[in-house]
Amino acid sequence: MKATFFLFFMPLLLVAAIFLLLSKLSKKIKIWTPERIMIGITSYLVLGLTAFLYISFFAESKIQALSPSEMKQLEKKLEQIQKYDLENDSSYLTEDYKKKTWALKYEGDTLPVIVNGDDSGSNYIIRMRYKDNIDSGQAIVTYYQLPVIIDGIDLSDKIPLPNVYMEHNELFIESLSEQQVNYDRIKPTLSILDFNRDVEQEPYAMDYPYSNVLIIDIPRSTVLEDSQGLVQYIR
Amino acid sequence: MQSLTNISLKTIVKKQVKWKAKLYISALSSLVILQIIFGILLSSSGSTSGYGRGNLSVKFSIYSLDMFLIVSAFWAFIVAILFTTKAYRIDDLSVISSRTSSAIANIFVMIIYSFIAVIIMISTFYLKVLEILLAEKQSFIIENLFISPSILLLCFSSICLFGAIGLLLGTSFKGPTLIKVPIILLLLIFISLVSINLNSLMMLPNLIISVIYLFVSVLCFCLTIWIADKSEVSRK
Repeated sequence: MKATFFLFFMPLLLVAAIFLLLSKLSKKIKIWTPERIMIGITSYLVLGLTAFLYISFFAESKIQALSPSEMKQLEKKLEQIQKYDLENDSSYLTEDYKKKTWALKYEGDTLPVIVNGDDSGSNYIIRMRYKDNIDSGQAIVTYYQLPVIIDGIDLSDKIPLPNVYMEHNELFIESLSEQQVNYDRIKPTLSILDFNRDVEQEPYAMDYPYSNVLIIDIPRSTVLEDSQGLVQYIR
Repeated sequence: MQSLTNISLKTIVKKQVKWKAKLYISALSSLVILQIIFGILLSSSGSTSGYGRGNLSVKFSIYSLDMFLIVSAFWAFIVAILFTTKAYRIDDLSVISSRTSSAIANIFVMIIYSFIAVIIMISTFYLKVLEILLAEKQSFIIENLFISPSILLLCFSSICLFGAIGLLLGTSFKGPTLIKVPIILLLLIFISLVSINLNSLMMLPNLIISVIYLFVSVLCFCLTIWIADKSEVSRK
């Protein structure tokens, strides 16, 4: 009830109060002559025009929103990636997506892996791969970041990297604490209409499960111990 | 010597529109002040949308024309009602007028003011954009800088509609009771019909919504003139 009052009646009262006050002032005080008010309004409009010109000539947004056609192309690409992963084929993980590599050392022929996080590993897809050119007692963990598109913006650079380290001869993979990203979006339309229309049109977010991939490369002589059942084999 | 010159309604209305547009100019300055208060100083953003993706949470503050349009529409409604109040009717005595000519002049002034209100609205929007640009350079996303003509028409028709409803409401209050009650009932039925079908109305293209709004505005204007004409005999 209080919110309704503030949202609906307060603006109404304020509009009436300001208008009446200005009407009275313009009659009583001779500073507010129609000519001067007109000059004031014109100046305000010129100010708006100057702002528009400044933005169009000098403002450049560092973040580019993807067009619907670009988003569709990307969606197709990500669907292909899903197929590769289901076939245990790692060839989709190219250098373009590589973000960070950790070279870790361990003792013996077994490497236990422990994934820590709020919801135990759901943030990452973890795969294990045998490599012939790796020395025994060495593991190479590579983090690949695939595109994460939310509302037409690629947020892959904003995703926090996992924390990967060895402790007591165990490989720990930890997701970092939640990160908040804020964006200011300029949309010269009516949001209320867009919101209602978009429900029946295209999806806003491309929430894709195969966006964050961790590959653990180990020599063939090593056995990877995964008690949580989160690591799968990939070629 | 006496003058028996018969001045036509068109001439009277023309003179009144010129005179009233100048006299009520403070209405526009009040809109500028309101737009600055609500659009630039108070509003943080039109709307926000949030997403969570793993350990990343994203918040989009969307700056659209919604707030500016709501303020302008409210302004048009209040100003239109105030135009029909006694204080403003006294101003009519300064020039040759009848209730009908005064109502027609009010309608034209409202249409002109609605058009200027759209320009003020756009001006405020770009000033707001500049404010965000200067404050938040890193997280700034411009989807489009130009306002499409269909959106402009929709804004104009919405402001016009609210102004028309305000004029009709204000005029019907000073009209005969026989007219007052049905008009208010008609308005209530219209508002409830719009509220029920709001979702389906919003799904229509901008141009169709604008045409509907303009059609309803014309209907309200016609009713305003008719009531003013009927009130002529009961003028005190």
